[in-house]
Amino acid sequence: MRHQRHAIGVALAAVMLLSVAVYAQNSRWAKPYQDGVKAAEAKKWAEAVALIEQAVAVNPKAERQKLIEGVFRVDYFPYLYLGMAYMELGQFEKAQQNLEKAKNPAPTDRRLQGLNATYLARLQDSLGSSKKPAPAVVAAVNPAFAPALQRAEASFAARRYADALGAYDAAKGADAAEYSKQNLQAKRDETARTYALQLADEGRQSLGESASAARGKFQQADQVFPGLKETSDGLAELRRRDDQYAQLKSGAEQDISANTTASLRTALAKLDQAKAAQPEQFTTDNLVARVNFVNGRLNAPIVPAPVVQGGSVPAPADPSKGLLDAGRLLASQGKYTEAEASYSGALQRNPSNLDAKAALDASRKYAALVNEGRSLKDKRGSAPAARKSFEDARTLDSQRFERDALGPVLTALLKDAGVDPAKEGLRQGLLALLKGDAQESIAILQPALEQTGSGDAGAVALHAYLGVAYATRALSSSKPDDQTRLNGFAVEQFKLAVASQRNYQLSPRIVSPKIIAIFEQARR
Amino acid sequence: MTIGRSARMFLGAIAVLLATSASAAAQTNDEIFPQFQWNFSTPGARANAMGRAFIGMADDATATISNPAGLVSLTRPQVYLEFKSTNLEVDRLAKSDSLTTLNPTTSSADINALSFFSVSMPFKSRFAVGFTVHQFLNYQEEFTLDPRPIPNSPGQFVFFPVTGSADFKGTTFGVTASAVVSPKLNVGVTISANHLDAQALATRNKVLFNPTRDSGIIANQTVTDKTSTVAAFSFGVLYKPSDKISVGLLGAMAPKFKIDEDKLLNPGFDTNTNQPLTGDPDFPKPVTIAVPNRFGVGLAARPTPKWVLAFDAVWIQYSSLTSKENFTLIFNDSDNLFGDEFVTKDVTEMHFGAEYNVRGGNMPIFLRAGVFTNPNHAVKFTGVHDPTSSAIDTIEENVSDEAIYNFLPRDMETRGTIGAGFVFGQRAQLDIAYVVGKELVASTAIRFR
Repeated sequence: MRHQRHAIGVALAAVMLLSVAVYAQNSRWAKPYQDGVKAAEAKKWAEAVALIEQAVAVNPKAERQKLIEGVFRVDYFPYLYLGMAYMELGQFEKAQQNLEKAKNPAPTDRRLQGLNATYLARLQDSLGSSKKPAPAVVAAVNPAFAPALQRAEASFAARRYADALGAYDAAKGADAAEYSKQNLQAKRDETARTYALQLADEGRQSLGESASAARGKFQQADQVFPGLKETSDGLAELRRRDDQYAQLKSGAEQDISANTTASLRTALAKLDQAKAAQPEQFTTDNLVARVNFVNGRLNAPIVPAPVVQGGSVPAPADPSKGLLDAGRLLASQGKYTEAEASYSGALQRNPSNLDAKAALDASRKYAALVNEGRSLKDKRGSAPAARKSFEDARTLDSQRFERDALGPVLTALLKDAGVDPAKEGLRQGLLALLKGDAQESIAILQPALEQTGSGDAGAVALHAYLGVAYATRALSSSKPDDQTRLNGFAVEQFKLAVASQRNYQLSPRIVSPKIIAIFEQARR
Repeated sequence: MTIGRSARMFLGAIAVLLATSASAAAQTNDEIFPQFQWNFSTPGARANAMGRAFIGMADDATATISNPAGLVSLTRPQVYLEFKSTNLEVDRLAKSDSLTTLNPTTSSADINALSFFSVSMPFKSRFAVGFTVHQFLNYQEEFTLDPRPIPNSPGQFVFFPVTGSADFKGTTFGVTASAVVSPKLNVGVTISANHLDAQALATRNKVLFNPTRDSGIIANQTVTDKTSTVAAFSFGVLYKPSDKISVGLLGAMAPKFKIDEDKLLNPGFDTNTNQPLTGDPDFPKPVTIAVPNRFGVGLAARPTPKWVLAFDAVWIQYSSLTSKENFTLIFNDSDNLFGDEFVTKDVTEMHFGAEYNVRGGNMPIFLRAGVFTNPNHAVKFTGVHDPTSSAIDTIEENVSDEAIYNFLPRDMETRGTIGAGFVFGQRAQLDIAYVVGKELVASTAIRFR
């Protein structure tokens, strides 16, 4: 009886305790967190946010190998996944807040570390390109509208612009009124513009390797977002190269027809330039055969040209072209005065030869800018103007600028103006690279590097991107010897960069995968 | 100083547990029970490897027995299974001269059994329920006792030689409910149906003298062959003032089984023949098997994420085994025994263990070790024997029971434990434990979504 009485007492106590209000327990973060991680891995970002926020509400303390129950543990890094999910949903401020929290404690797992770094970099890019956070997904009248919009924003955040455009169109198709109400056309236009810029950028990077690939990119960019300056510049550059190629090709044929030692050599030079301008077309047109033909002629005894009608050589269709080409050849040899004379001669023969006029004007303008810069650089208060003159001259003809050893002069001016030559050089060099002018980039980066101490932090990037510029030239060069030589320069610079900073990385947004491969090879 | 709500509830629970301590009942004075071993080992290889210290941790499915309040720690449904191989050794003064030399004979039996099975499931993030099958008793023994001269026997009596066997199995079928009362306090209760299957047989033979030997003629036989099913419950509290500390309380109100024991006599005893046995008119006698209640307090600490230290103190009410009200005197030839001459001490076991996480990641590995004490709680005969008394029967009774109950050494048992645990992702764990010289335990838990 006594035993039963006590037993009843304990049972009553148990019932009393069980009947009081109950609370959520601390360990209840585990299931929503693990489900949230799975949702994130399945790219169900909205679901991931809901679940992981639920976990954080129960237990906000991130921790490696956090105890769930008994012997079961899990790495608990909710803020990293929240940052990723918000990022994918275009909610950049929340993404930033969470990714900041995710730094401490930082995950030790390499995969998570990689994710963290990737998303931080993406976040910086996103915040840099648009300070405005993307609006949250709104409820849609048509049930299909919200998912489409969410998909669009997630795709945009993930830089899948084509998908984003498709999703915007799907949202519009689902509910045009809501689409208009939320002014989503503006966002679609912005997406299209960003996509077109990306395509144009890719086109520009392809210029040196494949004109057809570049043309495809520019044309696609023009279709996605017509009227973009970058696209029209790219297409114009392609046309210029086409024209240049056609002119060089026909000029070479004329020179071959002239069949003198000088004309054959000129023909070879023109063919070489044609190859540099349009390597693909050069191959398609099988101009290698013509090069071989010319080389054969030059190595064979010169056969006198057939004399007809009074012993003179038949005049070319446009006598100014030969002089123009000769001028270009002279310029490439650094004989600028002679080149200008040749251009002038071409214009005298044919005043409507616009190329000759442009070449002459550019050469004269370059000389004028350099003279102006030189005269201004020592005058008090005129340093900025001098700097501008030199910079314009370098933009006009970087090869000549380099040949004239004006890099150090410009660097000194920059230093005097309190501008970090390394940074400025890197900025200008990158701009030149992005414009597709590797030669100009070299002309900028090389002197900037010479003015920068090897221990400077900026020297690493200068080495790296000077290497990129050399590698770009190597890839676009038609001569195997040049390719080898330029590639050697590139590898040398890459090695210097890696020696200064072992983990230095080239930006895959700027640098082509081929060049990154060379860089990684140099790193090894 | 302010005491928080959870702390007040915790202290209240202690008060409730202490106030409801119950007395219990007994067994018999035949040859089976003096060395009877109850199996109060904590279920689960993890707990066993940690010196059986688990009341303060109680964070896996074995919480249904160790501390029901811990069951709500589970975050996923799971199935838990334990296999146990026990080397059961029983010391008896069995040889003919053993009551003078005090050299015991050890009988040994290897007992292999699936000793614990549970299915547990959390729900609504604040509750958990579990169903448990736990074999809390598995005692198997066969023994023989030679004819043994009884020291100090005025009549130079000799014990009958005995051939005995015992097979006791006790199984709990429990349902556990556990709940979160506050963010720091969990409670839980296990209500159980407990089944005892008791089979014991002891045959005593007549002694022949010069030389003293077994005649092969049965003197008497005691028989138990019964089953009993009764309810019981246990109650637990788990208080977690921080992530690094948890304190647990356990109150196990053990079952009290009712069986009986019969005594048979050989009508051919006086004529030295074995005849069909007949019942003793005073039998069968009711026997109460009162499993001792237990009350424990446990502390678990996680000083670093890799270490877990656990300590339990468990008070076991062994006195209930021999309490007068239910102690059954199978042998009381003098009619001068009252039952209260047999006593058993309540004891407090100390359990200490540690767990170290040697490898993390998706497949963690744990090493564990511990130690526990098991103070001697053998039955003691406290009857006073007066050599000058003229009540010879009483003296003989007393010296006999003294020899049976009091001559074996009463050492405290201290055992070390070691073990390891292997975790397979978020789905499974496998633990093994070795209780040095006594038990090998393997258990596994499978978790579901």
